[in-house]
Amino acid sequence: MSETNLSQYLLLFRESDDAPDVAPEEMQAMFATWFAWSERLVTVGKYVGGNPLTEGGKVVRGDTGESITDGPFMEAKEVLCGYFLINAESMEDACKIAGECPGLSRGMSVEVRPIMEH
Amino acid sequence: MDHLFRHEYARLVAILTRQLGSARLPLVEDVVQDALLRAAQVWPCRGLPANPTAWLLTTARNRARDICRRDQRWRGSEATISHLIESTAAQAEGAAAATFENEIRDAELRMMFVCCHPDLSSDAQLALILKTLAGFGEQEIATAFLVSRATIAKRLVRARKFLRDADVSTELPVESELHDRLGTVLHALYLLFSEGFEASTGERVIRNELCREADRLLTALATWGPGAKPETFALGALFAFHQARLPVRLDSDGDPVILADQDRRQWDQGQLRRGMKLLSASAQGERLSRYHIEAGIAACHSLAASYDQTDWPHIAKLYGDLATIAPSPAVSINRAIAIARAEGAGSGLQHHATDVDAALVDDYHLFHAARADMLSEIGDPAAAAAYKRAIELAPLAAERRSLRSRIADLSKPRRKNQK
Repeated sequence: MSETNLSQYLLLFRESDDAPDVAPEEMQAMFATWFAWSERLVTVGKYVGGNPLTEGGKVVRGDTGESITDGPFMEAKEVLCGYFLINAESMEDACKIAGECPGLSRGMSVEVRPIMEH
Repeated sequence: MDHLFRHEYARLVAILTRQLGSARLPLVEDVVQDALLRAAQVWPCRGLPANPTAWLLTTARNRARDICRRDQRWRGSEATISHLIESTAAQAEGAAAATFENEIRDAELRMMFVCCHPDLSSDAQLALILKTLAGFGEQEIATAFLVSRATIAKRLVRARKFLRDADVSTELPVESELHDRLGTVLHALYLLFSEGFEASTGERVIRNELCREADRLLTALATWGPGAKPETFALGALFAFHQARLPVRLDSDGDPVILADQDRRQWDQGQLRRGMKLLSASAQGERLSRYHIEAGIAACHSLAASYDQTDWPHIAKLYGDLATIAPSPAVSINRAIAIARAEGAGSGLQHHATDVDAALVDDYHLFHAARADMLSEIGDPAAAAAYKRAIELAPLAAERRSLRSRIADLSKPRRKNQK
């Protein structure tokens, strides 16, 4: 990392709500744009990894984890639906990459968080 | 990559319906939808799997098992699905690609007969074919048929309910039933193709895909032993001849170009050759179907060097044959037009007046347009009124434009002998 001068950033994707009935053609269009984007990042060595997240989950709280509630945050307007871990030259570069996320045009938001250096 | 998801959807629905039964079609459609959505999200992150279909199938089956555990509606299905997952997981891994493709082909054929169950209306059959065998979305089907999405959704719900209540078998028809069942499937494909081919308003792209899908499914039937009947080949020939004209059916503005004005050099020669091959393959057996005759008419047009050099007497005869086995006002009108070309407009007008039930077609623009053309040719001033009536009724702006220009031609001293 020191020689290439790249730092890692986490891109967190949030979606307002999922479209109920997506036709296969629309799914393919969605897939194609995301695939093209991640492939481009792989090619320039900036893609480290990523995953989509399934809906729902649990939130654990309390000193001993005794409070387990359905989550995450059903009431929240935007739900975390996936993440990418990327290499970027700077926060500006990371934001530029985030700005190319195909989900943006479908109402998705991308949170860009630098991974703490050690 | 073209239409990969659409095709995968159709393949998976066919395979799972075969395994789980047509009564569980709603479950099958849901889990296949989920599997594809998952693929659209996971594949960009982790790359394409080595065998996308197998990945999707496993994902869909696991999803089906999860749903059966949770959802009251599918209780009782869990054991079937668990068994299926266990018995096919290992097999899917090991199966040769060719075996897998054969399995899919077999499942698609079965699905065709399920969708074309004789107790379903034609509307329901076509909607089911497009949704399950072609992988169209409800909105796409609605766009293709110029109806609302809600109408299509209702049609599909009713059709699925029928399949469930009647527990329609996914077995291929036995020999004694084959002729009738195959006839129903061919008729549905004929309607599907016509829906895509007839110049109407709406999305050209989607309509062309209706033709392509009808042709693809027909080819599947024609290459399946029991389905390879003369009628199947005849319908295939009809599809091929019509598709040959697709490249010049619309002008640069997207308006339909009538047969007389089409540039025949641009017809797709490959499709024409395919049509001729299928037509000669169809010339066996003792039964002459409407597809044979319609393909014969299309072949006759395809072989002609120009509109005027067409063998009109032969076409008139074929329309006469067609009128005896599949009578319709449109057939009678086309017959009158062919007779007018073969024997003269006066003769055509006589047939137009006596063979066509005017009461049935008084609001059909082509009925009036054909009469107007023939009247114009013999210099009868009544042509103008007939053109005006046709203009009032013509659904497409391009047709109205063409009719108006023909009215304008009436005042000219002599019409060129063109159409």
